[in-house]
Order: sequence, then C-alpha cells, then structure tokens
Amino acid sequence: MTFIDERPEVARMVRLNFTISFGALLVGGLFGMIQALHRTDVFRGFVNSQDYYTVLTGHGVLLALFFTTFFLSGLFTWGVSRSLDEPLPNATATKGWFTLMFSGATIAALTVLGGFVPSMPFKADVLFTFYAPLQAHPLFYVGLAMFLVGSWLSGLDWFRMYRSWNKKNPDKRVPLQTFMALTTMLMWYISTMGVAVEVLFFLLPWSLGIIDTVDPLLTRTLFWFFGHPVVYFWLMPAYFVWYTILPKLSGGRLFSDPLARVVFLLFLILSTPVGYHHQYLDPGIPSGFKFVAMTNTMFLLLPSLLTAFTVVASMEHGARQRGGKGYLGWLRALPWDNPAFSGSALAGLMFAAGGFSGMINAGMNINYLVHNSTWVPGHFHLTVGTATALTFMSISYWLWPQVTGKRLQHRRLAMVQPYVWFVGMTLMSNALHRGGLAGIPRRTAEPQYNNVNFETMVGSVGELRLQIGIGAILLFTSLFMFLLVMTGTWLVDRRGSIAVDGHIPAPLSGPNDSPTILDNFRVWVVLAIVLVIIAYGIPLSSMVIDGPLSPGSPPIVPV
Amino acid sequence: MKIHRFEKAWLAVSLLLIVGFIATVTYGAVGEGIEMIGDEGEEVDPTKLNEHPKFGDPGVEKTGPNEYAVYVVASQFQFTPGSFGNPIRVPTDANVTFYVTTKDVIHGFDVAGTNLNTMAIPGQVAEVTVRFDEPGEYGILCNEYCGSGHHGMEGKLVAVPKSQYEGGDGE
Amino acid sequence: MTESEQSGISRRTIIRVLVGGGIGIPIAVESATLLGMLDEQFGGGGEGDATTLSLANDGGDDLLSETPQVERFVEATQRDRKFVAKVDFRNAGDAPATFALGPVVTGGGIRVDGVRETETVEPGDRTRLTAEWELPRGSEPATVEAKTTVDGESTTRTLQFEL
Repeated sequence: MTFIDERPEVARMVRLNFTISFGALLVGGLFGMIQALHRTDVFRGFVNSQDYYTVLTGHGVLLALFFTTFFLSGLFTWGVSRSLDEPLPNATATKGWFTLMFSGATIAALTVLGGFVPSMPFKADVLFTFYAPLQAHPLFYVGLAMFLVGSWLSGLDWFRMYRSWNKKNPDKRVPLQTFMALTTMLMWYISTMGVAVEVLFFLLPWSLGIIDTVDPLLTRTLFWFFGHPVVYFWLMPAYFVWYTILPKLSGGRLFSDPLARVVFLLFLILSTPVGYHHQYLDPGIPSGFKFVAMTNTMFLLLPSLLTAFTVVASMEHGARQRGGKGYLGWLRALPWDNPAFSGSALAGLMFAAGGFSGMINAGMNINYLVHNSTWVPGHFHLTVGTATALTFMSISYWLWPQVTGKRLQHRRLAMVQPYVWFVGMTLMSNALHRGGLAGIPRRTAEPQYNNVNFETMVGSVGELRLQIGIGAILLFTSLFMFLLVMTGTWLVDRRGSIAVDGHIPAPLSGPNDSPTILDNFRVWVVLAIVLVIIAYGIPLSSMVIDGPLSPGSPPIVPV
Repeated sequence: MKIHRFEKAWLAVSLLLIVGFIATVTYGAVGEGIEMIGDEGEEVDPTKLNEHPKFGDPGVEKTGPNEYAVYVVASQFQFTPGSFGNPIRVPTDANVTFYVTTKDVIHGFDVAGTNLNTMAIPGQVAEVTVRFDEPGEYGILCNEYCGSGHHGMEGKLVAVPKSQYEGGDGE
Repeated sequence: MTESEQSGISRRTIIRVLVGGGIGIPIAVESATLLGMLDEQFGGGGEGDATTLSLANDGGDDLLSETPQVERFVEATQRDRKFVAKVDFRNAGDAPATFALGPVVTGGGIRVDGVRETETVEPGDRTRLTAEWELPRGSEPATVEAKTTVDGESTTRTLQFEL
C-alpha cells in the first residue's frame, strides 16, 4: 500500500515540509547563480556590489538553514513513522511546530530580502554567520529564534512516537531509521545551545537596545559551537538515505546495521567539541584548545570513512544481486538510469572529495593558507552542496510519489538531472579550490584588487572565473530541472498506482548483531556533554569571566 | 558484534590515516615551529583605540637587534598602515611580530599567497610572528565580510632587503 | 533493464552518455588539474605572460637629450620576475662613450642592484644594450637609472615606467 494511503496525515506533513524546502531551494539557488556570475565579473547586471551581500545572506540562510532543515523534518517524519509503524503523536502539536518553524523562517527571510529595498527598515546584510558587531534588524533574530524552537519541537514528535512504540515493543532494538533520527536530534539539541544563547541572551536584546554592547569574540565562539555540528545536521539525513534506502535502490540490502549505529553515535559525541577549527586564526582562543579541536576533527573522519565502506559494500551486494560480475564490473549492473540511485551514488562519490578538502581545513597550521579563501566554499559545496543537496533531490524522486500518490513526471529530465549537477559542481568546486590556493577571498563581491596579484598554480585567474560561471549555470539548470519534475508530478492527478516500490528489505547484518548499549541514548548523551565541557569549558569561561559583554562593541549596521 | 574482516581492515587503515594526518599537523606545529595565533595578545577597548599607546599611532617599530613590531588597525574599509599609498615596510631576515586589531567590525588581515593570515576581532589583538627570507611585495586584503565596502579593502606590504631598510614606516 | 528504441536513441546509449560524460568530464577536469600541479611543482612549470612597460614621461627617442649621444628606448618587458630593458645607443658625439642602465627601483621601493653597461662605443658607432634583472617576488619596476659617460663625466636620468 502506498504510504499516502497508509498514513495520510504523516504524508501531508512530509509534503508541507518538502514544499517549503523546495521553495527555499529555488530562491537560494537562484541567488547562488547570481553571486557566481557577479563575483567572477562574467555578468554584473543582476545587482550592484552592495546588494551582492544581501544576495549572499539570502543564499546562505535559505539554503543552509531552511532548505536543509525543512527537508530533514519531512524525511525524518516519514522515516520514523514508517520504521515504527506509528502515527503522529498529536496532530495539533505537529502543526504547531511546523507553523512556528515556517513563520520564523518567513520572518527571517523577509528581513534579509528587505536589504534590497532601501526604504524598508528591515534588513540583515550580515551573512549566514551574522557576526557581531555587524547587526541586523531585530526581526531577523526573532525569526531565527522561532525557527530554532520549532525545530526543537519537531524532534519531540519523534521521541514521543518512539516512546509509544517502545511501550509496545520493550525487547526490540530501535529500528534503524528512528535510531538515526533520534541521534541526529540529540546532537541538534546539544549543538544549538550555543547559537540559542548567542541569539537570545546577546544579539536579540542588543538589537532591541536593551544592552549596549556585546563581546564579538564570545558571540562568534558561541556561533561556532553550533556552526560545526550544523553541518552534521545536514549530513546525517544524507547518511540516513545512503544507509537505509540506497542499498535497496542498488538492488540489495544494507551491509551492516550495527556499524551504521556506531557511525551515528560517533557523530553525536564528536560533532560539537570541534568548533574551534573554524576559529584557528582567531585571537583570544588559546592555541592548546585549537590543537584539541584539531585532533577531534581528524577523528571525525572515522564515521565518514566507515560509511564509505558500508555504502559501497551495500551497493556491490545489490549490483551482484542484479547480475553484476567481476572485480569492478559489478558497477555496470547498478541502476544508473534511476535518478534516485544515481544522484545518491554521485553525491556519495563527491562527498569523498569534499571530506578530504575538509581535512585540509582541519589541518590547523595548514589553515593559514586557505582560511576565508574560496577554498572554503569549494569544500562545502562538495559536502552540503552535493552530498546533502543532491541526495535530497535524488531521494525525492523516490519519496515524492509515495507521499503524493502520483507517478513521477518528466522521467527523462529526472534521469539527466543528477549528472548535470555532478558536472557543474566539479567545474565550480575545482575552480574555487584552485582560486583559494592562490589566495582569492570568499564572500567578496569583487575580488579584483589593485595591489593584489593572485598567483595560481594551474590555469589563469581568467580561466578560473569562467569555470565558476559555467559551473554555477549548470547547477542552477540542474536545480530547475529538479523543480520542474517535482512540480509536474504534484500537478497531475492521481491515477492508478505509482511505479516506485517503497519496500525496504532487512539488512544483511541486523541490529541484534550489535551490543544493546548502542541503543542506550543516555550514555552517549552524557559522553557528548562531557566532551563539550572539556573542549569549551575553559575558553568560554575565560571569555565570560572578564565580563560577558566585555570587551564590548556597539552595533554597526552594514550600509 | 559481527564485523566483516574487510571492514576490520578498513577500520585499521582509516585509523592509521587519521593518526597520520594528526602527525603531519603536529610536525608542522612542533617540528617546523609554526605557532597558531592564541590568546597572548592583550584585550583592548575597540571604541578607544585612538588612546592606545600603540594602536593610537599604528606602524612599524624596532623592538630589538633583529626584532620588529608592526601595529595594524583594520577598519571599514582600510588597513592602517597598509592602505592608500602607505604600505607596511618591514626588513627581511628579521623576526617581525604583527599585532592586529580593529576599531569597528571583524575584519581579516591576509597577505595573499602567504600564510600570514589572521582575524581582526574587536577587543582582541592577534599576535603573529613571521620572517621574510627574501625581499618582495605583497598585497594585503580583507577576507572577512565587513560591510558594503569589503571588496575594496586592500593594502600593500613590502619586505625590503635588510641592507636597504631604514627602520620604521617613514615617520 | 530493457532496451527500447525511443526516437532513435536507446536507453542504453543514453545511460552510456550520462555516466560516461557525467563521470568522465569530472575525471578529466580533476586529472588535468593534478597533472598541471605536478608539472608546476616538478616540471619547472610554465612561464607567465610578458607585460610591456612604457615610459611615463616620454622622450624615448633620446633619453638623455643633453648629451650629443642618442639613447633610444627600444622596449621594456617583464615576464614573471625577469625584467628586460633594451636601449639603442648611437654615439653621435666626437669622443668614445658608454651607456649604462641600473639600478632598478621597484614600485614598493626596493632597490635591485646591478648596473649593466655597454662596451666603449666609438664616435659614429652604435650598439644595443639589453639589460636584465631579476626582481623580487611580487614587484614591478618603477624606475631605472640611465647614464651616459664620456671622458669620465656622466649624465644621468631617472626613467619612470607606467604599466
């Protein structure tokens, strides 16, 4: 039976969340293309350089916060309900958190867009990181706070569904998809403490004039307390797809359920105590703690490397079920014409590259060379920009029919879309990495200077700029293709049964092959908190002891 | 817990790789002596930098037989010294310590193409010591968004051969 | 996976094109980058483009017009860190003379030592001086000294460049 018929209210929540997510994707993605063409000087006709920073803020906030989070909410709502075979705990509560999230996101987004209209007092030209002393309109912070609280409440739904299921199944292991959703949310609760304190205790009262100054180093540090784990908030739903759905799409079963649990627990405990690797070049933070952040970060490579093994092993298993033979020949037996498969597989492949460029960022002293250069967006467009975004788009081809009851339309377009993304992202990210090595800065409307000559190792700066422009256009084209497929599918009438098979077979190595302590969330949460205290306790205390608002900076609203 | 033998091998290789990465970074820190910017810099009041004994009159000064200090103030949208025809001039073959802060928002101080790259955070002083082995001319740029004029924020740094250097920044 | 003819292109071909191109192009791009970097690091790399410099205040046909000799500016170019200046020196006077270029001062004020001088040029003869210096990293030439010497007495002029 199709999911929409089994659980119509759950399917509706998934559709709502996905719709907001796709809307954010459209606008955020368009902004990205405008940025790429502008900063490379390929085309500067969309906006002037001052408004570039409004575009950049919109791109970051819409994509990195709203596109990702709303998709995660839809995906996990489906996954928890499906794996537990549970309904929503309370329809009103669910509508409540969704409304809170959506309203908060809308308010924040509108303040950002207000930056285009000089006559409006609402603006937030502060970028996705909103570092003080740059200040946005108070409604920006209000919107973000509402959005954040809404996301906290979404997790409550899934914990309640788990408790309801647990009462009926006290001796069973937590189903994997629910396990993943719950560990992701536990990580979210711990990590968002930083940004919640930053916004609610400092930036919001400061923007309302209740306090005159804030300590920029403290607020920046609180942001990065959150700013690193948020990338795992983006990555874990992608892993959720690669572990629980991709094996089935490959024609087989998940290689190992226990290792998948271990991976998610590693993220729960290691995601937050690494935030200083975003602040390697910051004064005011002792270098010893930067070293600790570096070692912790390097160990974060482990869950991803383990994932690489399991995902590839599962794909190989599936390929051989489909008749694939040979050392590498089995690759040809995979369903490369199924965009749900191909996009997820290509996303995983690109993530491998992104992981290694991330290791360079993590390399403490190496970071001197690449910090705040285009290497950084080169890296994260491979990770959140592909591992997350392309996986989300691809799995929608499989999930959207199940929650709408409609057959996927424009299948040819869907089939081609992931490949266009992969090629476009290679071009753009390759050039961004090379530009970063030459020292070209990120987040800059016109990186063409009088005094600065960028020396590239390979190719000229002109070639780099062209590559970025072409890559960005391909990316937006791919994004648009995806939205055409989604919209086209939504617009047709329900007719007969869908072609997608929603059945997910059991893994080869099941949960009972693993120690039960893995399911004991309390243990891991305590461990996670202890690690955070070790990493952040002393530096944060020293920033607060000299006065939480001192050394203080008054607000500066960017023109 | 059943773990496939290939997976055990993969796990071992992964851990080796991770330890290897940590070792290379540690070598850079301990072997090559590349220090990270830490909290050695003092705290300052960003709204009163003009009254600060050093940042009130930023520039290069000689602090020892082969030691120099450069006090740089970043602001919207320039480096002082560094911008507007006032390049930072330092000698080669000397230990030059940069002290960088800002009087308004967060800026970046990046000597493009080198590893002299730091953040300027209001209230904090970034302290970083470098040595120029060869003469050369470098561009400085701001690599942290600081407002609408961010992309115009640039400067120049000249490493003058020691024999040609007449200390200080042309006062 | 069935093969069906759709407008002359089979599904199989479409997939071959997609996977071939979709993975092939990125592999090509990344390989080109890797090879380029290896070449840059170990293969001596390539050379940059040359830029031509012109004199700021002209008078290029006779650089030192006070002297009877004619010093004609031919060209000045910079490629990477190599700066080359060429001057045609014709001795239209009645005593042997030499011409010299150097030192160079860069835009950042760094003096690049090295005076390149011609052999003694008899009256009526001419020669071309090709002078070369290695500039410091990131530098461009701002000025160079030009000097004509007759009988131990020199006349100099500071040549200024504009890019």
